[in-house]
Amino acid sequence: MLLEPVFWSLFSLGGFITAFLFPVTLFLLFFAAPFHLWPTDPAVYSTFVGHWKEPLVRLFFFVLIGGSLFHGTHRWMPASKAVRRKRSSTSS
Amino acid sequence: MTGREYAWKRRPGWWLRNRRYLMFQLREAGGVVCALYGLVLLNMLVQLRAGESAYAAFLNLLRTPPVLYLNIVLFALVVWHALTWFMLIGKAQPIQFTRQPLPWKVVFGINVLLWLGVSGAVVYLIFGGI
Repeated sequence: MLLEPVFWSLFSLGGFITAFLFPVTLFLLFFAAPFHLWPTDPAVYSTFVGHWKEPLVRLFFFVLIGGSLFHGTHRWMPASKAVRRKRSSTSS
Repeated sequence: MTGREYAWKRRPGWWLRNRRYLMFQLREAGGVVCALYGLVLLNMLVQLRAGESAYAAFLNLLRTPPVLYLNIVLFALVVWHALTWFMLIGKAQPIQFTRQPLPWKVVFGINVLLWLGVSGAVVYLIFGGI
C-alpha cells in the first residue's frame, strides 16, 4: 500500500509521544490528588481551566490525544487482521 | 497474489506459555490502552467545555474506587508500554555515533533520563509547576 510508510511513521511518532508524555500527564491528572502524592490538584476545574487558555497547553493535548489514538488504533490493526484471516480460513 | 495454502496456525493462549510472550502481549495491550486514555482525555476536554459541574462529575467518577483501581491497572500498562518502547529503540534502530552501535542498555538509559527531563518540563510548562 502506498501510504503504509506514512502510517508506520505516524505510528512510531505516536509511540514516542505516548511513551514520553502519557505517564506524567495521567499521573498528574488522575493519581496525584487522590493518593495525596502532589501538593496541589492539577486537574481541579479552577486550575485546569486557567491552563487550558494557553496555546501551548492546547497544542500539547492535541498532539497527545492525536498521537495516542493513532498509535493505539494502529496497534489494534494487526490483531483485527489476524482475527479476520482466522474467520475466513475457518469459513472456507 | 494467492494466500497461503496451509495457513500458519498459532495455538490459542500461546502468549501464556512463557514470560517473554506474556510481557510482549502486555506491551501490545498497553498500546491499545494509550488510545483508550486518548478518548478519556478527549472526553475530559468535552466536559471542561460543558462547565464546572459536568467536569467535576467526570473527574469524581474517575476517582471513585472501582474506576480508580481499574485506572491503576491501565496506568501500569501505559508505563510498561513506555519502558518497553525505550528498550526497543536501541534494538529496532541501532544508533551509531561510534564505530560500533551503542548497546541497547545504554540507549535505554539515555531514554529514561530524557523521559525524566521531558516529564519535568511537562510539569512546569503544561501544569504550572509544583
